[in-house]
Amino acid sequence: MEPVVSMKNVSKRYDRFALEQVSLMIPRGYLTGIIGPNGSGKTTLIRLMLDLIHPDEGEITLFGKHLAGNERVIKSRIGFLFAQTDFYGDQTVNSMKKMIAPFYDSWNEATFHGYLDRFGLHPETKMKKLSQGMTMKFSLALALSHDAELLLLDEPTAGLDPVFRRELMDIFSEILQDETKTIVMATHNTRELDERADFVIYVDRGEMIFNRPKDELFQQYAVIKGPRALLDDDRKGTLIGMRQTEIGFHGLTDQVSQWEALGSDHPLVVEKPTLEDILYYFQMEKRS
Amino acid sequence: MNIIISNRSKEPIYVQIKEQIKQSVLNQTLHPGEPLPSIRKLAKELQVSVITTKRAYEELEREGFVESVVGRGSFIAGQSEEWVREQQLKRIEDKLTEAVEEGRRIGLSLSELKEMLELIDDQTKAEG
Repeated sequence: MEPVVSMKNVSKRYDRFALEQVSLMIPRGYLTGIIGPNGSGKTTLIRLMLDLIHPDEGEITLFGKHLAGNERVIKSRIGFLFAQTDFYGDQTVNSMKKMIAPFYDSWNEATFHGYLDRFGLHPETKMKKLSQGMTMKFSLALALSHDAELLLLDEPTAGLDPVFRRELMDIFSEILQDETKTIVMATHNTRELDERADFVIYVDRGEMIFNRPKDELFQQYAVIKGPRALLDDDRKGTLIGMRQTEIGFHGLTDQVSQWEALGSDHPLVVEKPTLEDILYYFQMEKRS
Repeated sequence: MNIIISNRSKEPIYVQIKEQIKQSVLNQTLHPGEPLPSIRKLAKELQVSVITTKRAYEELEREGFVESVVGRGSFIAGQSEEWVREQQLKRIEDKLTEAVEEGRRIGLSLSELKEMLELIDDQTKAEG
């Protein structure tokens, strides 16, 4: 099947930051998470996909088409969201919506009001009276109310409490009941992705480190914790981002069976990683 | 059918789903021909990714427990009945093996063991 988003050798260079030679494909019908430390290029990737910035090199297609010349058609199929969106403070929720809705051919007023209810947003509240979390909920309601085939979301959980973050992931699962829908989210809250992401794209300093099914990552890697006495040179070599303290060591490994083979004779912990673990140990490895 | 998964378990989630569906077939809470929730519905209910439930169903299909019909969904396969029978027989075999070995250990002959078996058969019939 045609990927929904495709990037080939895309580069974008700024004075202090460059995204270099990124090639990736995002398949239709799934949730893809983009993770990475601050300033790694997550937002740049989303902005490139949305054609808000233009690549210096390379090729980007959405739904198999180039944006140029198809802009209106393609953009009406996309719902987007940015962590820092400036709305007009003196406008109400409802009047703000009236300014934005006409951009979308398939705007659905009933869906929008359904989300307002669900999110506890009142149509007559002024934008400047909304907390960061409520503003985010408003942005979400906008992104979700025109039956978009592709949701491109930059930090959609920023400023949201943990309970609502989970509810939001439930909404994403509801959307994905339709297998023609695709969700792409860049986020720091990897906790949500641990459970729900189908694919994970990891970027660091403008470079894409991997784009893989999440289940594969969790099967390949494990967190190892144990006593220092177990650390011979061979075993050290199997650890990514290994840290030692006076009371033991910990690290990530992609040679899980080798550690499991040591058996229960040793006080050793072999744990299924979280995405945060993978991110952390990859970073530690890079620093050492 | 109940499926209870742990996100903290070291066992991959797709394996947990697969094993629990097999268990439901074995204890006959799921019967051949019975429909299963769609891959996407199950992912939503379990709050896991679509790929995870997809993998569980694919493996169940490969092992002959589940049949998928395009446009109609997934069902417990007819041939799962044979497997259930096999599993039931195996369980009896295991118990008998244990009895035979235990008997041998204390010097019981095979004919004495058979006698014992017939006696138990009579007794339990009378009770039942």
